[in-house]
Amino acid sequence: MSLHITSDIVAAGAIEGLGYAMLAVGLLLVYRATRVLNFAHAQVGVLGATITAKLVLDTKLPYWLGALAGILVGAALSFAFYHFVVRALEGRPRIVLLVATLGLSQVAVAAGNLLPTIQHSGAYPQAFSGRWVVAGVTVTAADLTMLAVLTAVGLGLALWLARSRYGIALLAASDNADSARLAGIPVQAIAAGVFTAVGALAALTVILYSPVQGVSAGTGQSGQGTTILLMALIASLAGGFWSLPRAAFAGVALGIIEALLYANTSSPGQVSALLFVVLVLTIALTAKKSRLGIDSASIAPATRPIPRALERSRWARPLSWATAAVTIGLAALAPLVITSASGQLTLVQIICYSLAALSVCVITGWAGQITLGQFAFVGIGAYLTAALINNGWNFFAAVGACMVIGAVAAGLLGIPALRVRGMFLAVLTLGFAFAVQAWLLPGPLLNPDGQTLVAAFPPATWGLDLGNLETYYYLCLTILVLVVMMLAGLSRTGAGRAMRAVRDNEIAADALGIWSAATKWKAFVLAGALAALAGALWGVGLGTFQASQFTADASISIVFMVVVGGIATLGGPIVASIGLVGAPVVLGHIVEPLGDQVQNISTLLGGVAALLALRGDPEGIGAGFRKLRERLLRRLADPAPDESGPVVDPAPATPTVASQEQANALQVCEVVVRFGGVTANDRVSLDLRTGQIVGLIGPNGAGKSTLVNAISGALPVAAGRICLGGTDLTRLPAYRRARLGIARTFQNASLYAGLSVSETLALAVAAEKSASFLGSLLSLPPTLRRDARCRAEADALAVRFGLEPWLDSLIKELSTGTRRIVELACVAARSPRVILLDEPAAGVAQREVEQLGTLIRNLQADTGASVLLIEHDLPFVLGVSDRVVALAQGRVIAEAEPSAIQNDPAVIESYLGIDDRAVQRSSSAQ
Amino acid sequence: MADPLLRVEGLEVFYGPIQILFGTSLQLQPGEALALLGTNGAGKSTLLKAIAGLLTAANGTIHHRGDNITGHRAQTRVARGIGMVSGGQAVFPVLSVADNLRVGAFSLGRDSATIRTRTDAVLDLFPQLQPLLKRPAGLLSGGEQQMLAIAKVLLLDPELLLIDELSLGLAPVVVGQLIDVVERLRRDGKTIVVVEQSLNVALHLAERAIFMEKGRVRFEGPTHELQHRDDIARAVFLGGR
Repeated sequence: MSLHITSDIVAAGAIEGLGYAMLAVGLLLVYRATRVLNFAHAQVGVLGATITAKLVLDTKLPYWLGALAGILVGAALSFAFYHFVVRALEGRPRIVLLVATLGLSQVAVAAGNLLPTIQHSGAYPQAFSGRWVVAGVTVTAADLTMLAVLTAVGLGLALWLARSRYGIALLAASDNADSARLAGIPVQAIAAGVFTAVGALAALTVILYSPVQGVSAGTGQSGQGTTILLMALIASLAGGFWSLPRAAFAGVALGIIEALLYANTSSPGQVSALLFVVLVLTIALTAKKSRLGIDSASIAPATRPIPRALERSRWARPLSWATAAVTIGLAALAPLVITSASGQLTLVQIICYSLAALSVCVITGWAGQITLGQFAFVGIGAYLTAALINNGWNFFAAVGACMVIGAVAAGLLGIPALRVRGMFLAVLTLGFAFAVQAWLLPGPLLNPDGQTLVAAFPPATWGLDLGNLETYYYLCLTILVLVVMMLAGLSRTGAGRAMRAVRDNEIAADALGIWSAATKWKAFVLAGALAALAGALWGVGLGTFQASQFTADASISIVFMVVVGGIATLGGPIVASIGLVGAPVVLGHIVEPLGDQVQNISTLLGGVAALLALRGDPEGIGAGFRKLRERLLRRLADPAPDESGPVVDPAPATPTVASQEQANALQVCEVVVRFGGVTANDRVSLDLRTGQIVGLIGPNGAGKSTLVNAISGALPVAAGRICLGGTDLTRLPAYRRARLGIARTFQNASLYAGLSVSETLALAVAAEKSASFLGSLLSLPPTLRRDARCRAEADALAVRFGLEPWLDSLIKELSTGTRRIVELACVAARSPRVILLDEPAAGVAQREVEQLGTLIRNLQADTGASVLLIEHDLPFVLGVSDRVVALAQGRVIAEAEPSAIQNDPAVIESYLGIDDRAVQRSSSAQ
Repeated sequence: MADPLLRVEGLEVFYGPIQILFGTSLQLQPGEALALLGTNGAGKSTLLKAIAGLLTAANGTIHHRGDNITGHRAQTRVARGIGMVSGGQAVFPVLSVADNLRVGAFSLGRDSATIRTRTDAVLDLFPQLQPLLKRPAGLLSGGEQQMLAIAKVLLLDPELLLIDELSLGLAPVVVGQLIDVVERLRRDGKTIVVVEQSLNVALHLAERAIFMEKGRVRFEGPTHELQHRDDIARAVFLGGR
């Protein structure tokens, strides 16, 4: 097959690409202003364009007025979103903002669908018509309009951004909002302006793009919205998610590529699949350099666990059983009340959506990865079950096989996908959802007969009449209960804690010996299996279905609803599913004349309500349940709620003294570390002798933290060797080094915001032993026993470090000083051979610094480890250390006894200076 | 007596549900320097942010030159001559040093002559920044970032300068230089409030100090007196009570 390529195809592709380019520019502007990916961008434009079509075709408004109205709608909706939602979400984790844009996208789609149907449907309106041949290329009036208007707008925008002081103020505002305010920049007014302008731009783009693409007005255009969103996202990625000109150029190139693909393949499905390949390649090429991954780590709001003293009270277990009994009882009674077939199908749908929503809970709520492709796995599950059942498979075997295939598919996608983070993963999974819906589901792999409508009617199996919806509902309910029990087991034990630790702070999790990448991957695989299970059950429940029921839009709406429901709890996803599926049905019953529009009205109202709810309680409805339970337990446990302290022996645990086999515990030889053009460590050599405390001093930027990061494996070294005892660590990943006995603290001591102190310590006690993922899922007795032992050990540790009052507090609620103590307790729990402390006294009041010295000495004595200590507070570091090494500009400039280092000429020159006031900072003011 | 430059009365500030300031009051006369001392979480930074307009007061008032500015936005306060250097990262890490200065001069509008003179003046004050103009601020050392942060605020020539954490995490040689700069600004007649963790640095910067604990003022008076008030100095800085 030869490539079909003509100048007509290229020109048409370039013109379409201009549309992608402009949308990408809009995405980037919002990203620059708020650091969030606006997933609603295209749908807002589509809504504006639909209104234009309606006004021009049916109301016979002049084209220019209709276009203006559409643009104004885009601007107004975008401004309202900023004013009522974005502004209220300031300071929240970025994922909440991202999720809000998913909600806006839902609202825009539903509003578009609610518009009265266009009577005079036909070609999308345009300013004027005509067709010319220029230099052998056919050009239409629509092409020319688009070319002229968008080029003018784009150039004008570029000029304004480059020349006006507002262009740079926009960058500053997103970079550091507080400092921008302090420079007198009206941050909110600028952001409001950006949102308004970008809304208008989106509408303008879609209005001009629709006639070029040959869209016919009157048919639902929302499908168009998600497609062009994906194209704009790819273009933005190619621009490194920063550069407007590069994104614009990439948009045009993408249009040409798309046109060539259409001209050279046989089906739109293949184009989708190939565009997914383009997306994967773009991400692979840009992920390292782009800024998109950097600031996306903050994720899911954490809910405080119920204090364990309360959970150990004698009412805790009966209350759990009672809650479970009432919930399951209500669910079991439902089909007796709702007897109609459609009603019972809705009940089945709620259960299947709950399973899909739970998969989002695992992957986004616990493992912290945003995915917009879960419905792809649901679709795979449904299609595969149908194929297997139609081949004569037993129903249960088919469902089981589906889960395995779902897990394998997720595992395969996870290997490349989890190498990228945050918003990259969201874009990648969205592209995957597209390719699956357009290519895989209708294609020969899962649908060998090539039917549009797939049927799955299993015969009675194991005495169960699966065709009877009531029976089928009870089967699905049983499965849901089992899944919830398994997930509850997972969240309670080490494997679940490890997942949440990775979510909150990957680098710190690695430093505890947790293999972050594998932990995320396991969550991805589990979520894939759950979503496929949901699909298998839903497909059979429906009986007949088609690919359009498993859209990327469905993936988006479920993520949105789950966040509103409470993303980190098990109750939240179920509540979300009841709302998502049940609300339209209930609404339809109450207000009968709504007719066909009930789904859209419900989505619109639900979306707006959920957007507003998002502003209130960030923890979601599921967290409310937990608080209710805590309140009940407190009331029941009265009058003495908190008397039962930890049941462990407060005597210090016997320290594990590292063997003294080596005089040099840690050897650092000629290590070189580079960032970009800067050499942060330039052939640094350092020996840590067993049992010694070595202070590492040097001015800011000398490379002290870099050295600690290089030793712990948080940063790669360009040259040199790092050895622990006789083991070469240089090429080992951070978690392996942690397992070999390197323990460390971090300058920011941020630990795991969403874990309690007791959970954090338990994690440190047994980070690598928590690997029994399956044991946690199945609540196997050995796993539970091991977990209880490790919780007890953690409690004992808390007593030793005086942390009992904070056992049930979340890390994010602690002061810096307390967090540093927790970090040191974690280090003690690791039985380390080498301890690296990065500014343990920073941000700690001077009163506490003195205690810190004793604590560090005791820690060293208890563990027998060698300690490398970075500190700025000279009296402190000189008092604690046996030996001091001074760094400056990436090199070791001196190494001496603490008493001698202050007199070293090189140190005095580069570090101490001559200002006595500053040197004596923490020494007393007598 | 004339109105003080700044009068804060009964200020209460919340972070979400948590109350940080419990009715804090203070007065500032033109040209004086005040050190805000206290342990972590005492509310020092919160007080500065409330004065600069980054946080809103739930109760209490802030008067500037006799005008009630409690409800004013940050940008209005900037225009009145209140400048602040944030603690932690006060620069725009993605932007170059030159662009940081451009942004710092935002509220000077399009008055390019003034912008140029003032930029030259702050670069005279911090000659270290001159060769770094094209480097992204995020790649500067901690000391250089702090200098850039102060330079940025000085572009607006504020009458009242609020500095949140002058010396935190900086090498002694840099701290020494910064102390010199602040002393020079005082000689130029600026009114300065500085938050410090280090009593020794505070002693060199200000003649008056306010010591805060848990959102309340526990001591107010001459800095040297604080030095002799063993109960407070020991409690905070030396351990034990």
